[in-house]
Amino acid sequence: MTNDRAAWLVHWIKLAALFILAAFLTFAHFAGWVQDYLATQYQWLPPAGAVALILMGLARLTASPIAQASCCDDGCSSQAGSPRKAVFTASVSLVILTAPIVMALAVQPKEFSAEGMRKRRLETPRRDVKLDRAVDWIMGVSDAVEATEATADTLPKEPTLLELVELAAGADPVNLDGKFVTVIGRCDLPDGETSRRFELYRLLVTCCVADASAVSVEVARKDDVRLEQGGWVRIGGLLKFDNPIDPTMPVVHAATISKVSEPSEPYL
Amino acid sequence: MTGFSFNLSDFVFVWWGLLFEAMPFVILGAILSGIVERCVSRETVVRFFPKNRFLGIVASACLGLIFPMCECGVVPVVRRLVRKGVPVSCGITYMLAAPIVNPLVMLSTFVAFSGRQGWPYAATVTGLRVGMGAFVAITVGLVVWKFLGEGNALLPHLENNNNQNHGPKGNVFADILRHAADDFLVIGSTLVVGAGLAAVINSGFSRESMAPFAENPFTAVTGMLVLAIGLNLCSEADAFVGASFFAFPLAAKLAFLVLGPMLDIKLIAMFTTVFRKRTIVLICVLTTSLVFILCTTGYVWIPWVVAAVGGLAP
Repeated sequence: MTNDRAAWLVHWIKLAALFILAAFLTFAHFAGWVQDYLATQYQWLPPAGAVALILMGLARLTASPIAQASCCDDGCSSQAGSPRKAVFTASVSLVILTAPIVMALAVQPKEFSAEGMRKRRLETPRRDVKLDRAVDWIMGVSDAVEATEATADTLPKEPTLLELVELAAGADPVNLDGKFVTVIGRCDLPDGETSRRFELYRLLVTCCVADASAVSVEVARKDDVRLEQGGWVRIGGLLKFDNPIDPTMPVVHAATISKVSEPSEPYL
Repeated sequence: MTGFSFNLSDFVFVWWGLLFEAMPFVILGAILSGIVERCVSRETVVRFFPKNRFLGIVASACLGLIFPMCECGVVPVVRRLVRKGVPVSCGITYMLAAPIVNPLVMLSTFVAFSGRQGWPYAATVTGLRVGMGAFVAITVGLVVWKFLGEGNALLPHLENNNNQNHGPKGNVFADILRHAADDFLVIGSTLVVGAGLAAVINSGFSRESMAPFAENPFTAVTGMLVLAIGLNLCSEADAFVGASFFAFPLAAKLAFLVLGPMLDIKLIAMFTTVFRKRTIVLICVLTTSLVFILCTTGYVWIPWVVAAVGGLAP
């Protein structure tokens, strides 16, 4: 293979990689995929990346393949070895860059599996409320008790799961016991559609799904309404602290359960 | 639930989560690298960089405050800077420190830890993270300068290319974008591979399985170091994940917060486009060891610092 021929091939392989990647990022944005993968404030990144890749591709298009091969370290025939090796390296790069696109189009994942979500659940340490109070007193936090009472008073009627869990983690259970709350989340049903005790969860995503953590609260119910694994529901009920394993963990005793559609912002 | 299991759908979900987030920053880094290549001459770099190498390394550790970069974007920039004449030790120091010693990461760390314990505690955690990150980066830079030898750190074709004239210059923007495209295609490929390996661990690993590690300082710090390398989180997001490991004391959480932005699977893959194997091994071993020592001894000294500054609990 001649150097000119190799330079020409490398040039077009690199262009293909840039434009394929840009096309996928654009598609993912307009097809609404990006919102499943990224927190709201970062959803502009893929389309911005696509624009930059298209501009890069256009800039490469305007230059002669041979001139580019002579000035770029990775396409340069003198440094990449034989022309055949340069073409091989560029081809491998193209395959690597397009492999995740093929995988995404084949699998089309939109959310974590039930098992995948459970892996992201954080184990909340067991609390000793009396010990917490004693430590606060020793450390000189004189108004700790008043502070926990205040958090109980400030519990919204319809808190997010995160607000509820954070308040429960900081407040004295006595102050929250018996409060009526309404929360929205997704069901994780360990015993199938008619589970009497299940977890209501939402994912907390800061940047992308790789940093997702599942925030959950236990729900107890008496009715036999069939629920879907992962389905969105609004639950109204009384907060009680009767978890047999950890009595400082809140349990929502459901009075009403209604199925709702997915919120516009599914992540917390 | 087992500690690890593989699910294809979860794997692809996390893989693209990482790519959607990291790829635009690598593109940004590649464009900055193109600007450096096209607009900054080797003579300019040599003229403005501190002549005293020690000062240069310290200044490089603080450079993130002025030129903040995340860990993905910084690799192409450093790759180009060292080819322009920035000393390798200073480049490595900037590469390791910039993802921690930068205003955005400092702000996110502050917000993540300003919970029940209030702002003095959050400020202390932020200060500890930045201080430890800068210390580790400077130490690695000094070791590269004094012991490894800066002539042996880079890939041969990058060293030999220092004085190469990169072809005829045309339109500035087109030149910048062409250089950026070349850098992106090299580093982007390694990002895809690194993010794939990271996604296997990130999607397969159960966070609940970390709980037994919290029982003693050595397993806690080791567990958090492994987690930092395996989860491959963005330095702007990792503080929120780190803060949520309630069972672990602050010293162990800091192991996660300090090592994560400096070293993870996708970064190691990206390092292979700049450094020789021995340099990568040195960076990996030294950063991990230093963070391990700082954080295991931190079980003793970190609570003192926290108490002295006015926070509540370590």
